This record gives sequence, C-alpha cells and structure tokens, in this order.
Amino acid sequence: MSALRFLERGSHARRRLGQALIAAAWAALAVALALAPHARVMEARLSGWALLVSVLLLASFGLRKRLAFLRLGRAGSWRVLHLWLGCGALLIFALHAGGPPAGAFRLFLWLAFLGVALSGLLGWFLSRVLPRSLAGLEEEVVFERLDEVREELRQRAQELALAHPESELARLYPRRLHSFFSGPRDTWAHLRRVPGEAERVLTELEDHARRIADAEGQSAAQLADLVRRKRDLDRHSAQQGALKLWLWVHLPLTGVTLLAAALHVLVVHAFGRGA
Amino acid sequence: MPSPPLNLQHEVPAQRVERSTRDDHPFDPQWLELFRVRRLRASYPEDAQLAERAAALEERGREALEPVLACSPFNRIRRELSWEGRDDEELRTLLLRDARLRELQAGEVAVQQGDYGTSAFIVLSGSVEVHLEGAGKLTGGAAPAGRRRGPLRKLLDWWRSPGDEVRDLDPDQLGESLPEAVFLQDMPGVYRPGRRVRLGAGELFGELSALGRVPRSATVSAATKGARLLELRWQGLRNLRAGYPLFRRVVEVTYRRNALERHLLATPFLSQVGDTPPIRAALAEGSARALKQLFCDLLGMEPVGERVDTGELYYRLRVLSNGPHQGERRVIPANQPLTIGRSASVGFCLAEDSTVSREHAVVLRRGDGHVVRNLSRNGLLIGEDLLGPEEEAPLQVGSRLRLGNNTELVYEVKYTAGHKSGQRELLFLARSRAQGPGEVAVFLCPGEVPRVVERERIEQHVRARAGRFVVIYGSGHSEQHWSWNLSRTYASASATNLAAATRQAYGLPEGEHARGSLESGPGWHDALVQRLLRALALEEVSRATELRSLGKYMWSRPTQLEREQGTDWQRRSEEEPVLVAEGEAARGVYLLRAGFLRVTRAGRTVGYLSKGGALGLDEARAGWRARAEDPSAPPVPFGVGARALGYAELLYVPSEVLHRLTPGWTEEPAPGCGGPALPQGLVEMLVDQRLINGTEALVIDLERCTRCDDCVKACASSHGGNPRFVREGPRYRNLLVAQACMHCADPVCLIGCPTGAIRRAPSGEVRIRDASCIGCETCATNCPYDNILMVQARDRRGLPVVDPEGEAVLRATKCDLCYDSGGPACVRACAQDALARVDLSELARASQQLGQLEGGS
Repeated sequence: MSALRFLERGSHARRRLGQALIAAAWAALAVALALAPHARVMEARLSGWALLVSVLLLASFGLRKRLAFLRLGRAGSWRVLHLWLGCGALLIFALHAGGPPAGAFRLFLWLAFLGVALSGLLGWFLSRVLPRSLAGLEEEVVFERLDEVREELRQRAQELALAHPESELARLYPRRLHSFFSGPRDTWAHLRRVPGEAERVLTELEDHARRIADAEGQSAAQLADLVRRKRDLDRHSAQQGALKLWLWVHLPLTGVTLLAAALHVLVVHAFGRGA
Repeated sequence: MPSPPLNLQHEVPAQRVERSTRDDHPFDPQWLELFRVRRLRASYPEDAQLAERAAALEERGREALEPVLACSPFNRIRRELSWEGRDDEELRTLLLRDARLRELQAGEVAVQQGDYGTSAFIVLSGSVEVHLEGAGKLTGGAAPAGRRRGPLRKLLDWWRSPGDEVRDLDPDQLGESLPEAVFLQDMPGVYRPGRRVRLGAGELFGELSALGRVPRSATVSAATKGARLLELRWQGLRNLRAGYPLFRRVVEVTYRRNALERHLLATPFLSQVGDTPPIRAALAEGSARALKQLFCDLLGMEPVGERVDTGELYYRLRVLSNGPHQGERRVIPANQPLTIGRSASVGFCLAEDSTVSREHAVVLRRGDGHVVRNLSRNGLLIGEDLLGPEEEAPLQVGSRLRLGNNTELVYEVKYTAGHKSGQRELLFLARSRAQGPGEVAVFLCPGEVPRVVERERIEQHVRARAGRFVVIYGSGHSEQHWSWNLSRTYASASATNLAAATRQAYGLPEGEHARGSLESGPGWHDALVQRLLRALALEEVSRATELRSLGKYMWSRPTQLEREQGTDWQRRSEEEPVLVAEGEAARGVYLLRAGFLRVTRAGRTVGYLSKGGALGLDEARAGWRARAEDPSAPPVPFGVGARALGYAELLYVPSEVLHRLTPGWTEEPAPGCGGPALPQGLVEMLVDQRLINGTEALVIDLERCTRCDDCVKACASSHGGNPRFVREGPRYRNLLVAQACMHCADPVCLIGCPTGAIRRAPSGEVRIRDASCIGCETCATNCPYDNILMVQARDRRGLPVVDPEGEAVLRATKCDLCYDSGGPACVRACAQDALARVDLSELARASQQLGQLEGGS
C-alpha cells in the first residue's frame, strides 16, 4: 500500500522521478535482450512474458477506473504510468514480434496490438489538444445535454425567423438555416478546427442584414448569435465525441488483444519447441 | 435538476391549506394552541367560545412568562419600554414564540464544545459552568458518526448497489430526533476538569455560535440542581437584538467580556500587544518609579500622590439629586441595618419626597460589604437594575440608588480622621475614564514591604476605591509582593479565593500567585509583571475597540430569489451596505469576525476579505508614519472601498491605540491579504456569486478536462450509484466551479434543521446523518447554491419509501467529501489531474490552490 500512497501524493517531482525510473527499466530490459548471448527461443519467451505482463498492467488502468471507490492511488499517476508502460510495451513488442508475422492468427494479434497502441497514442494526442480548444468556447455543455440544447436553439431560431412570415428571414430559414439547426454539422471541420458551414451561414446572414429593415435586422442579429452558439455546440459535439470515441476503439481492442494474447501463450506452450 | 415526484397518490385530490407562518411553529410546542387560537380570533372576532379559550391561554402564557420577565435583562427591557410609554406585548409574543424554558439537572450539558448551535441561553435561576478547557467532546456530538468502510465492504456495496437512493427502513432510525440529555458525570473517560467559569442568573451564553454560525467554543453544564435556563432560538435572538437596544448592549457586553480579547490576541499584528519597548525598558530598570510611569503611559493616567490614612473606614449614603434632601448624608452603622424611607422612624428619613415609600429600602451588612433590600412595591433602581419587592442586590462603592421619582443616593466609603498611626504613603494612579466596576486602577506602595495586617488595611482602602486593581508593594519590583483582585470576588474575599480568581482572570498556572510568595525568586516577578502588563494593555485595546455589523443576517434568501429571477450583478453590488468608501480617511483598522467584505477599487471588485481578515492596516500605518514626521499631517485615505457581502460582523480598532500598545503592528502583514492575485474577472465572479463561501469548492480546469465524466462515475460508485454533484456551474475562462457542496465557511444550510441531521464534522466538512434526516427540505431551501438535493428514498428492493398517507419519503443528499473512503473520489479519479478541491474563502489560499491546479502537468 505504501506504493499507492506514494502515487496518491502525486507531486510533480515524484512523478517525474517515477517516469525516469520506468524509462530506465525499459532501456535496461531492451539492452539486455539485444545483447544477451542466448538462444532465440529464450529471448522470445522472455520478451513475450514481459509483453504479457505489460499488457496486463496496462489493462489494469481500466479496472482502477471502475473501482474508483477504492483507494488505489490517483488516476493522474496511473495515467502517467500507463503512458510510459505503453511506450515500453511497444518497444518490447518490436523486439518480440518484429515485422508482420506469417500466419493469420499471429497477424491478427500483431494488428490488434498495434491498433491498441495507436489508438492509445491517438487518445493521448486528443486529450492534449481538444480540451484546450473546448475551453476556448463561451459555453460549457455536458455531452449528454447536447441534443437538448440543440433542440432549444432550433426552436428559438425558428420562432425568430418566422416572427415575420413575409420577410426575407422567413424565406431564408427553410432554405438555409433549418438544416443547419436540425442536427450536428461540420464535425470534421471542427475536429480539424477549420471554418465550416457555420461561417458560410453567418456570412449569408450578414449580407442579408444589410438589405433588410431595422426590425428584421434585429432578428437577423439574434439569429446570428444563435448560429454562433450552434457552431460552438457542434464543436462540443465533434470534439467531445472524438474524446469519447477513441476509448470505444481502445478498450474493445484491448479486450481482444488480451484474449488473443492468452490464446497465443497457450498455443506457444502447448505446441512450441521446448514445451 | 428535475425534482422527484412527491406525491405517489395522484388520484387523491389536492387539499387546500393556508400557508403557514413562523407563528405556527413556536419554539415551545406548548404554545402551539395559543398561536392557533390567536390566528382564529383575528378571523372570527365575534366567536365567544373562542374568546374564552383565548383568554385562558393568554393568561397561562402570562403566568409562564412572569418569572422570565422578572429576570435580567428582560426586567430592564420592560422598564425601558415603560419609560418610552410602550407596552411589553410584543416582547411577550416574541418570548412565547421563540423561547422555551429548560430545567437542567446538576451536571447536565446545555451546549457542547464544537457543536453548531442555533440557540442562545439566559440563566434564569441557579448557575451553570462554562468549561473553557478540558471538557473535550462528549457523546452525541456534532458530527455524524464517521464510520469508515473497508475495501471488502466497499466492493460488496458496489456489487449490490441497485442504483437508487437506498435508505435504511428501520423505523427507529427514520424517526430519530434530538440526542438525549448528556451528563458530564456520564463520561468520566472524556471529561477532564479544567478551567471553568461560573455564570449566574441574568447571564447570557451561546449567542456567538447562534448568531455567527460558528461552533460552540466551550461546553456548558448546569452547576446547580434545577438550574433554569431560557433557550432562545436564533430568530428570536435576532429580533431581540434588532428591536431592543438594551438587549443589543447586553449581547455586546457579553461578547466583550467573553470573546473579544481572545479574538484580538488571535490577530497576528495584535499578538504582541503590551510587549512595547517602554515596558521592556521599565522591566529591565526594575524601579517603582519606572513602573509607575509605565502604568501611567499604558493606561493614559495621571500619577497622583495620596496620603492614605489607614485609620478606621466607614460607609455612608449621600443624596445626589437636586431635591429637598440634596447633600444629606447618613453613616451606615457598623453592625446594624439602615432603613431608608419617608417615615420619621427610619434611620435615613426622606420626609420631603412624597414619591418615596414610608419604608422604601434597607441596607444590610453582608461579609465585607453591604447589600440593599427593596421594601417598596414601587421598586428600587440600583444602577440600571430594577429590584422587585424583597429583592436584594450587593452595593459597590459608587453604586447609585434611585428611590421614587426625585431621590438618588450614592454609596460611599470614608475614613475616620485623626488616625495617624500606621500611616503610609500610597501612590496611586487615578483613573482617566469614568468610574465603574470594570475599571482598573494601579497602586504603588513604595518603601518597606508592610506587615500582613497593614497590607490588609491598604488593600481594603484600595478595594474601596476601584473595582479592579493592582497593588505593588516595595521599592524594587524584585522585592515586591503582588496582589490583585476582581470586584466579583469581594463577597467571598478569602485569600484563597482571591488567588484563584486572579489565576482565572489572567490565565496563570497553579502556584504562581500566592500571598506567601515573597520568598520566591526575582524571575517570578518579572514573568508576572509582564503578564499583568500584557493583560492590562489588552484590556485597553479591547475597551477602545468598537463592534459593528452590516447587512442582512439571512443573506441567502435574496441570493436564491435573484438566481430564480435573473440577477443584475451591478445593481446587487450597489445595494450592498458600504463599510468604507474609497478615499475616506483611515483612522483605524477593521477586523472581520464573521461574513465577507467585497474590496473595490474605482468601482471594480479587486478582492475580498473573509473571517480573520483586516482592512485599513496599510493606510493606518502610513498615516502614523506621516504623523511621526509631521504631527499636523492628515490621515491617509483608504486606497480601496469595502462593502458587506450579505452579512458582516466587524471590530474597529483605532490606530492611536494600536500605536501606543502594540509594537509589532507596523511590521506584521495584514491578515487575509498577500499572496499572488487572482484575475479581476475571476474575483468578480467568485464574489458576485458568493462562491467565496466555499472551503472545498470543486474546481475543474477545462483546458485539461477531457469530459470523460470519470469524476462523476467515481462519485456515483462511492455513493451507491448516485452521483452527488453535477459537472456544470459558474465558469471563468478555463475554470469551472462544479455544482457540488462547497462545505461553506458560513454554512447557512445548517440553520433551522429541526433534528440536527445536517452538521459540521470536526474535520470541517458538512455532513448529513441519514438516520436523523426527516426530509423537511429546510437545508436544501437554505443552500444558496442549490447544492443539496432532495431525493426519493428507496428500500433495498428498489421500492419507494412512502409515509402512511402515500407521500414519498424524501432525504437530503449532497457531497460528503467521501469521508468514509479517505477523501473525495472525484479528485482521485481524474486521470488528467484537472480537478481540485479549493478553499475559496481566503483569497491568498484560493490563489495558491488555483495556481497549483492550472500549473500541474
């Protein structure tokens, strides 16, 4: 438990020390494996077991999240360990498996592991980049409430546009705005953080506002505000969705990899040389 | 958040009932019918049967209140009302509604140290003991039981959790009410005898906790069998304070006597009070002259030499008022009573004053002094106290007696002339302020240490002149014998009692003060002199300190309304009561003892101060420096303005007193200030939305939060599948204050809980004891931040719990900081370290903790 307490305190200096120790351990293992004057079989077994232990340790992070009510250390410290362990596991994997292996099962396992590793790295990248982007938005909306807020915006936009039935706005709404407000838009543009449909709608509204009367112009300005809010909402939808989606790839792949790895160990021990 | 359905019997039509008022809920249930009948009488004034019932109940109420109204301070309030020509009906109604009588057995505990109380007590008869130390925490205390669950138990609970708000259905548990009476003697293992103060009839206690929403600072138990107390709930206390200036003075005097000096000493720049260079120099010199000068400087007195005739002393009464008997005097016979009245047969005849009764009062010998007994039905005033028939009061030198409408007498002490033997010169320092029993006078007696008999004579002389005094014998302080006394102990002024009283008053350990300590070494005197001087200096500071309060006590109500109706922050800020305006001359320092202050510069909020903070210290220092160079320099103006946020209790200490008595005040940093500043926008948000009340606010750094909701899931898994917070709330840039209980510095949710289910634990967090919660929603309504939710309780099978009428049984629920799991699971569960529990109540700490949150990687 003292190690957990150590993790729980989680000062930055200690965490850095932990990271350095893990990196050193991995480097020592890699050097030992590369230089050891022993048989290929022993090397494969050693690296294989090291890899399996690493994968199990990596997967235990998910278990820690589920058992959050137990005192198992700060998740922040676990995440750092997970990251370093993952990088090390990738190194061992390279030593253990090398390039794409022959045989369908081995290739499947090879691809599954790579999938887990790459989705993990993608998740790490997204979790570094997207929160900053989301924090820059004016409004913070919980993912589960996005549809509710979107519907609210749609209704308000519709009321505004149809307040003057014979106006230009009323004609513009079904043609341009209804589809924009009725669902998430510009997902890909928001992920790349480039202008999308919202900007085009705003430009049209501004052009439109120049040509119309004062009362209608006020409604146009309010509509422009709603468009901006909807744009932010779409960014929330796209970016929060991405932050959730990568886990939906990472976690199932982890499960598949674990199962396949267990089968691989069984097969190797049952039918391999020296069994 | 959506509220759960409250009525499960939808087919039952709603019953129309009148909206109830506070009058429908008197503190003492025995007056429930009285208030109900009063209300009915207003609607049906012609109903004879109702009138008869009302008259009987009113009579019962009147009878029950008589002994209460005869006691101080209510007798004085009534007298003040009668002088103003007002009746006391309003006062009676207030007492019937907001007070109840309690009779305690000897040793029974009235209040416990650490409890959050919502009522104060006035001793009606008997006495109580305040255990200032040693009583510790007794059973049935403030905090709900902090049972920690082991890992296996937690796993089991998690596995079996149905995802509903499951509550224990044991009817005994659900119906639990206030804890039963606690007796000191029941807890021999907990109770340790320590420093105690006894309070008698007319004394008030518990008001600081009730009004300031702070824990009780001491345990109070009944000292005598059948001690009768009047318990006033805080609403009544508030109304009495607001409606009756005399009661306000009583509260102030009680605060000054019991808590002010402790508060001042706890303030960093006042902790060295009395330790001034002149005091240190005088102690080093060690001469009576230096000490005399020192006391003069310290207390602002003029040294006066007086030749004391240690001959026989006698007491007398003298007529003060401009009436027919002006200037008349009567010596009180040594061993006989002196009767005063209009009759020619009494000892002191006031025949010309027709408003004096034939036998109005009698002065009787009691121990070393005298008491006066009222014989008249018209009453006798002694000082501000009204004596009823046959009531007695002790006389102190200077006491004034008012008889009838025109005659006022003063009780004096004199010496017989012509006794020259044993004459001794006594230097004494005359008081610079008006005389009173609380005044301090210092007497120095140079020359040889007198014999015991002479010492007693001198002390008798001194005692006759001042309520509280210090006598210094001998020429050098290393040879001196010290003695001082408190006026309260005169009635039983044995040497042992005097020594004990002195020890209690000045916090001296056992054995340090004794009459026979002449043989003790010089170090003993030095330490004692130093303590005495500090005590006197502290008294001087506390005497000069003014008490002020601003704003509304129930500040949470407007906040709730504003939130519901949409808030105009600018207007709200302008409506806050102003303490100081920017540019106003600073002549002293404000110390905040409860509540919060908004600090503004050029109309913008630049900071805030919480309990323990100080305002105007830098300006007062700058002013003193300027005056040191140029005595005609004007005071330095306040660089900032300050407004009360809701409600604020303050102390005002003039800078002149600080300069004279506190050497360190110019160097010590101002409490509540310093540390890195927060962005102005963030400060404005925290202040406007009163988030500064939070000591454990859940702050999320949105630049690191991946919106994974692991925090919410962790909270849910720690609380049977039901999260206790929402990841939404007010936000400034990347910082979001989540809607979770902030465990406020001023927990208004505690006010009014009828069963004490919501309380503050000793470790500071506010918890709800499920077993005691009756689902009344008082706490949820009081919480200005909507951080307490009412949930529908379910049994272990997931079935809703309902009362016999089919109404859903509700329970209050909120964040409990996972006290049974070793700290908040939400913070532990965040993989990005984007969450922190931040103490927003202190600007410097908030700034530091928010900096750590944002700075972590």
